[in-house]
Amino acid sequence: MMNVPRLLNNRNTDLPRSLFSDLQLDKLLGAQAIAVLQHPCDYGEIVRRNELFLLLDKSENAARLENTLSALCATERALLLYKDAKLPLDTYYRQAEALESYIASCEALASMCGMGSLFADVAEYFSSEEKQKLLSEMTASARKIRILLQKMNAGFLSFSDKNWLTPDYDAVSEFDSISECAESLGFAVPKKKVQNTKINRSLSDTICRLYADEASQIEAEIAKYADVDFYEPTAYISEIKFFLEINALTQRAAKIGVPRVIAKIAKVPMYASKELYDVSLLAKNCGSIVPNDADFTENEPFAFLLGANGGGKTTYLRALGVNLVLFLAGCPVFAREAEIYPFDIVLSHFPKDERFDNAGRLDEERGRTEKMLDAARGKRAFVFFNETYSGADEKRGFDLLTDTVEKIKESNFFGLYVTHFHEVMTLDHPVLSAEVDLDDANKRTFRIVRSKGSASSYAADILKKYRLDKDSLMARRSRNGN
Amino acid sequence: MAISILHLRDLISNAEALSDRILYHLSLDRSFSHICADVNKREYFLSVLSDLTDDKNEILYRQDIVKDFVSNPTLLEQLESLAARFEELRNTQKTAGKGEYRMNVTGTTSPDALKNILQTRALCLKRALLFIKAYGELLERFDLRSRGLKALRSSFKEIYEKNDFSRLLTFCTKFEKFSSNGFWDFRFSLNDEGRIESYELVDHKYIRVSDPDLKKKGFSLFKKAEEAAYPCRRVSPTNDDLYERLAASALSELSGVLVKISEQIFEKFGGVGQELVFYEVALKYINALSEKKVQICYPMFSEDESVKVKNLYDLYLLMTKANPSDVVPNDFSLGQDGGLLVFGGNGSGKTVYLRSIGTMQVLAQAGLPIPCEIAEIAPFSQLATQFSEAEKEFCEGNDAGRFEQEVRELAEMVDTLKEGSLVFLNETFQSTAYAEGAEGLYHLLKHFSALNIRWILVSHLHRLEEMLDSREATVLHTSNGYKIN
Repeated sequence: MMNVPRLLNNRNTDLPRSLFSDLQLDKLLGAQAIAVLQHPCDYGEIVRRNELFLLLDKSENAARLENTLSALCATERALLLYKDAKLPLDTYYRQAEALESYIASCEALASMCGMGSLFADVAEYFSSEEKQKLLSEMTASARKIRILLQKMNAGFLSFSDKNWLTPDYDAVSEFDSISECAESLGFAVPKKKVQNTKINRSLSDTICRLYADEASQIEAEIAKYADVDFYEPTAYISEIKFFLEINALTQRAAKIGVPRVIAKIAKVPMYASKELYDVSLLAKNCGSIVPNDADFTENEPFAFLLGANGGGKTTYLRALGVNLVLFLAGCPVFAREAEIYPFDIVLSHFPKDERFDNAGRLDEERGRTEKMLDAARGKRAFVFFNETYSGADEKRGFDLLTDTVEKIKESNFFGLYVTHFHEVMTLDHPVLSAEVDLDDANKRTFRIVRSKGSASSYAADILKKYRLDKDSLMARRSRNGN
Repeated sequence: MAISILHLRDLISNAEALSDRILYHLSLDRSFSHICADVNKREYFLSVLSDLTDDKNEILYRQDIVKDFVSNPTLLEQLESLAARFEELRNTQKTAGKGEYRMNVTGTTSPDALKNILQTRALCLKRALLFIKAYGELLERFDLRSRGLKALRSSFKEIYEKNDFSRLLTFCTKFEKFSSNGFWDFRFSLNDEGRIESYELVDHKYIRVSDPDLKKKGFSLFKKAEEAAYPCRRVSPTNDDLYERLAASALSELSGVLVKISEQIFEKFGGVGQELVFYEVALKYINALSEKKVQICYPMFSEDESVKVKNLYDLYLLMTKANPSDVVPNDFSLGQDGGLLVFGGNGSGKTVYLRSIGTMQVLAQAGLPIPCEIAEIAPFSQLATQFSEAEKEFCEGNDAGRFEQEVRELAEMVDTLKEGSLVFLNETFQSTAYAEGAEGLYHLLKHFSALNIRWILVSHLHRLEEMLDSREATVLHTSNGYKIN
């Protein structure tokens, strides 16, 4: 039998969890999706995932994937209920349900051909002759079990004399008899309440004793599949959820006019994009997001970002970071155009919330910076610094910044450093700044740009007041078409 | 759908309800306080008058019912007596419902308590069903002409003449004695997940078991009994209250059906009892006029939407004057468009004339006869009044404040008036300079006419007579002896 194919095949590199909280992606996506994003993909995997995301643009494909997920979740639920079943009759029902949902899940996965190369392997596996033979046998068993359960699913409980259970032979309940009379007299009757009450051991045992032969037949059918791994299809649940969650994010962004694009995979290290959006703002239910461009090349891989408080510096950083992480996980990016290189690693350095005195904070930041640069060493990395060393006095802070940037330059890392140290203008790196968008009438939008160093009677009055004077009355009539 | 002897089924009336102010201006409240002493009944009657209808069929529908009751006065009495007892039963059911709700809220419902509730519900439904029969049989005894009462009789008969009516009564009788028969049998079914989806009470006749204990004891009849019986097993002992909870639920659901049927009977026929009050007051009104030897007339509808009434009496004066011959009747005529201007000195009967016309219109559109010799009317979709109320409302105000108040009232009226309305104006705009008042009023009356709103104005503003031409308004003057011509 062939190996079970997977939908998510990642490289081993782990992006640190802190990157996701810095970029606020953890407020936008669930823990399972974040876990997937923590593993950047290689070129081939990005292409395969991109292919699937493009297919999900069509609503019918997204619906197919949703339906498959529903089938798999139903299997997971059925197996959980089966595990928890304690009563004999309950166990039979749970087994029947597990069998049926397993068949449905396998069939749903087998039908996923045409959903890109990722699903092609999965569909092939579940369509194999061996698997289909098993499913066919299971279908026959499930049908037989249901017929047997059908026989056991109704009866009379008589507590009039001794307590008896007998089979139901088409009796009409008092409720139905009265309802029939009432309806023939023209009266409506309330809809019969459908209960959903768990049986107890007494009823379960009594039913199984009354239908002992049927019970033993059910047990024999179930025993045939003792070696089957019923959990096999459920392993795809988290993988499919990832694709659907990212797809839902693109749809949510589209509602406020944020476009998404499958980024071109650059052959040489670069990060270029037109109208790049920070979708982490969706977590704050922002009604609109201001896009900005990005242009990081081998010639200018690193830039500083200066600007006023509240000018969108961190938003720009997050726009770069979020979309880079999404790109590396094979997801669409939120931009008009993008061409990005599959970097090996993405790292971030944001101020921590804990209280430090000046020396303590500086040491912590320096230590963290060193660890970060060590982790990136030898890799094609993109690093983000947000106000690192801003807590130190200006000279000390700027010295440390210079030292860090030197190391970044030596290692050929790509990166963005958000700072308020204006002395960075003197360093040999591009400086971006957040400036008021002059095209915006209310002047509250910032754009990231390359810095350039930078008399009638009383009665008539009353009548007029209440629109009862001659002119007002005529106006009323003409308004009403009279 | 509720049965009504006031309204035609599926009728969509375009008429606007009358405000209390109109009834007040026309003194209808005061007139009927002399006719019906019972405040509740009078208020209900006035509420029907307020609920104006402009549907000719509905007006004739009521007229015919009034005539039926006039011809068969004991019918109304007996129907009202039944209706009163029917209403008592309805209240009993409501009280029982509160008790049941309390039990549900406090979690004190048990199968035994629910047995009692089921018995009460069965008894209540049985009595409600018997009322249907009683109503129907009562109506059968009278020679009815009106479409409304005939329809009422048919709607009762349609129910009690069916076989299922007797079957339903039998079920009610069975559940009335539910506690004493001792049967306690249920049918259950499981859903696809093996959970109980239904648990219902069944008749004991469906239970056929053969007790294996009897077989062991060698009862000779056992074999025969076994042939007719189903396989069965004794229910295993239980340490929870599942069967009690399910039984309680089944009984509660069954009670629910009985309540639902009863409620529909009350809803369908309960309104009739209230509506009979309208006819009771109507008969008192007719009798009061009859006692005063005043001729009454059931108005007909004119073909050209004009209004012509001969010898119309003012109801309020009839009810308050000791001698009805002191009340002077007047003729009234209103063309199919335009208005009517009535001029006259103080105390010459202008306002009485206006009131008698308004009263006539309201009563006629309610399907009632009116105190006059002959009447041809047109139904209006809206009636509006604007009466100068210096003595009542503005005794501490100055002229300017009164005028603005009048203008405000009229502005509200103009905002809501629709085509096909009739407006009664009494001494309007006389609280300002005559010339200005006349000028303002002239434009307003022209506005009404332009919108096909007919109007009657009682006024001192003689200048209006010059301003309006004869096609726009008919002008009447009061003369000696309260005659208007």
